[in-house]
Amino acid sequence: MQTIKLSLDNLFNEFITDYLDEKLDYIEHQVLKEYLEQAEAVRLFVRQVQKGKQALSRLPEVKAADDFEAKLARRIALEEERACVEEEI
Amino acid sequence: MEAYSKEKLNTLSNEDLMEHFQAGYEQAFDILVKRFKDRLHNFLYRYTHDHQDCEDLVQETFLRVYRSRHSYERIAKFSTWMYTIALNLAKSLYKKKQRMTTVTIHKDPNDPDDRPLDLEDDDILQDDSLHEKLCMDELEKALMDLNEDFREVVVLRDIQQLAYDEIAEITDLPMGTVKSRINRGRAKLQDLLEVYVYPETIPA
Repeated sequence: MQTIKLSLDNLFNEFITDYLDEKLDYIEHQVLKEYLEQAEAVRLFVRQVQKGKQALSRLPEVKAADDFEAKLARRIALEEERACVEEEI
Repeated sequence: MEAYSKEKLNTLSNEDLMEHFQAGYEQAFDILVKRFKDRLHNFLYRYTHDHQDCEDLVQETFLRVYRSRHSYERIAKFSTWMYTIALNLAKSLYKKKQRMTTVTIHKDPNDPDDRPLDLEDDDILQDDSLHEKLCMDELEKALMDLNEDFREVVVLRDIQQLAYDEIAEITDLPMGTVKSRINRGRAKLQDLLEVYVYPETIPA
């Protein structure tokens, strides 16, 4: 399939990456736009990449619990204590 | 090494903090924990999909940073070093869970109580907030179902917002492979989402 072959090409990926990161200059952007107008399989692939990226940006952020630092401190203290006992033995 | 107040330590870079920690200033470690605890939770949750497992992994990551502090060398960014530890731990847990899944008894598809929630149920879709949540559940599921090679780079880029060179270093892959996997991973994720949300569009 054309899409898969193209998606494995490093240069193509560089181009798509820069396009999605909005790092293409005006000329490069126009060249890509014209190319995508002609290559349907590639256009569909780029569209899926773009939609996948957008979907990921909707994921809610997961944060640490309020007592995380206290729990970690307890665990480290316990480990240190254990290490001291082992050293003594 | 010059002794700094907590305020002064707070202004230091992660790498400077690590050097202070190596010199015996435990407060520097506490600041690193504060800086990275949420980012690490957000990263590792994408591997565990379970809050308790995720917290255990984040704790384990910090514990290894604590224990291995003297093996850190300033040639690497602190975040790269720490994400490498976290990624290795996540991969081990993922493999362990996969081995456990192979012995799990499968659900009975004929049992009506085992029926998954149907996204097309009108009653469900009328509630916008629930619909939004279901979409998030589908998104989480798609991310979990994504091939591990794709998932790690996609999560590091699109969720952790890391630079491509840092991702290349963490995953030990060439930059071109990283970019290629990110794009293919995003496209695959979108394909999976479409299958989950609109299963009727799957060709017979």
